[in-house]
Amino acid sequence: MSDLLRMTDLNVEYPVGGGRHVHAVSDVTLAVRHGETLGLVGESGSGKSSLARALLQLPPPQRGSVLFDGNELTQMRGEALRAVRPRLQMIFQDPIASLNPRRRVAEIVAEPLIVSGVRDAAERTRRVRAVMEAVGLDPDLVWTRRPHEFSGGQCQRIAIARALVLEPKLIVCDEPVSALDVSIRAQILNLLEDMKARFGLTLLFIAHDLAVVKSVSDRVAVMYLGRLCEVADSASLFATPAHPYTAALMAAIPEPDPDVPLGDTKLRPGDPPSPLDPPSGCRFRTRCPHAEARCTAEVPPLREIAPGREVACHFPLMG
Amino acid sequence: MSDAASGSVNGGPLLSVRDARVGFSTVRGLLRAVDGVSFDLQAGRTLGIVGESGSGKSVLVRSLIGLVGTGSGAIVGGDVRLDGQDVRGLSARNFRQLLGRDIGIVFQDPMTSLNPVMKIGRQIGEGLRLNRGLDSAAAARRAVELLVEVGIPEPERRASQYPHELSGGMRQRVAIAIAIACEPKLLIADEPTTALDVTVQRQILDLLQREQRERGMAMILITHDLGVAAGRADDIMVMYAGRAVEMATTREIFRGPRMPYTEALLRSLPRLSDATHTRLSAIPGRPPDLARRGTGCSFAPRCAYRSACCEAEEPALSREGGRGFACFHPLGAGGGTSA
Repeated sequence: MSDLLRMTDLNVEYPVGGGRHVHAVSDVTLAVRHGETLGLVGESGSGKSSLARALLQLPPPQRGSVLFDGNELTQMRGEALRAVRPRLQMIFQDPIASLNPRRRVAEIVAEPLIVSGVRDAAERTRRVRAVMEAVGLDPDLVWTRRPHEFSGGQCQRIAIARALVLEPKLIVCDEPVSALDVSIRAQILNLLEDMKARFGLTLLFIAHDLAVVKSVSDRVAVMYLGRLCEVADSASLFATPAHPYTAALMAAIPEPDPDVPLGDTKLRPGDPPSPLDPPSGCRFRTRCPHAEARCTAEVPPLREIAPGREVACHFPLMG
Repeated sequence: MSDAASGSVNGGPLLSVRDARVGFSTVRGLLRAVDGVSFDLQAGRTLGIVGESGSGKSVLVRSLIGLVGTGSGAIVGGDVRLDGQDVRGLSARNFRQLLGRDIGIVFQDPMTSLNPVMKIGRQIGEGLRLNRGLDSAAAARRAVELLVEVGIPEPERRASQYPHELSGGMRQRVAIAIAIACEPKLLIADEPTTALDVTVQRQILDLLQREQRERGMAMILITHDLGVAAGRADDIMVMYAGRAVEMATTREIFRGPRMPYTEALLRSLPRLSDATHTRLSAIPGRPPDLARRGTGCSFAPRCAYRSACCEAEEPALSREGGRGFACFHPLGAGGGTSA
């Protein structure tokens, strides 16, 4: 499979005053292949949302390259970027906040068509109706209503319809189900899987819930404090995590089964460090049970330890 | 119904709640957020209350501790006894004493539950001064001991800091220190780890469980996360649309749910043991509008087992061998979900 999106040495920094910067994303190289779902996992402050925004050029990253479908997005501005954007859409965490409360649902879903220059109103109506039906909304019922009349799950359907209406190639889903209740979550996850198959989509699926990520992702990338820890196909990553952080994350998940004993995260006590002042060398070393002197001195590069398995650790748990 | 009303401390439940109700008058009519919930909690046990947003789990527990009062336009009803004492009949002053001394509370967001302009040591010591009669110096010393107990490094330095100087996990540890400072009999934890990352969540739940066991406290753990409830609760009460729809031991709930909603909820969860792209069993529809509730079972419109009677009449919580479920068509024991 070829790459639809390739990020190389991506760096995102935010100034926080006093000449200091938050290193939100540091030297990330990651590809998303045609037709796959790549899960991106990390805790708060890991840089996963910053990464998503940087690849969409919202705003552009400080350094690095974003090659999407043959276009170097970081070199593009204005009209040229606008011409690429229809192929690259996003779904956000809070479905209610991501919809304009003053607009009617039909206007919300049609807006991308207007922005991208579809002038024919009949054509727009046809496409909006088709995409509403695809995501399970009845166009006649929802057409003139406004977002506040809908539940979170229904709003997420509207947001998905808006993302799909331009027939994109890649959708970046940033925590698309974290704000939803358990009984609604499965509906939206199933819908995303259906839409992916029906429209031949590629998904970058960002989430902190490992069970959710596993259920939809072909491959998974794990981030910690702005750097990639591990990239692997879903089955191998969950069967044999190679990075100590991945192992800790998996052990920390509370399984909905009282007979599954609580795993041992083996983490050293203490909280995650601040991204304002990340540790030298390996950023996970302050909590890692296997850290040695080398981890303080050298940043472990992301390297291939088995076909399709990359890990950034001096002492991986396998290989 | 239980005989806890006799006021006997020995043998009776620590907390006894009968027919708890909370209603809010809204422009669309009376919204019944909690609709006749009864349960008992024995000393030393942990009750998990699980439910989705709007199920009434937080409002129920907040009403027990007077945080949902008539001041907020709420109509609160029911009988609440702690150690046999009628809590709802207490004067405001006695109720405050009871809260400070016998009930500890940990909320979801420690940033908003802690006082941002009071030093941490003083916040922890406040209850000790007011409820235990310690002088300032003794309260300050005890605050530092409590910081050690909840696993905060450099406790003396931390005691003189403000909440914003701590990480989210540390703030929640401070909130736990405040909650346990006066040796309460009952600890209420309302989504205590929802705002935290999964590795930090693990540490905080471990801490809560350790404190609960060592001090023999009873705990009410409110969570939307069935995984959290599975690992930490002895018993579970499942709430849906303001009512308790199933009550049983944790193992019974997860091994053989009787109420179809519980089963559907468990089946809809993505699990690490499933292969990628396994289709999830979604629950169709969504929870009902609490202000426009019909006559029947609230879950009936979404239920695979519904029949005419489910839409005509609301099933009461029936008891069978120590467990309860509100359903006309309960699932067979042991015939439920398996992981």
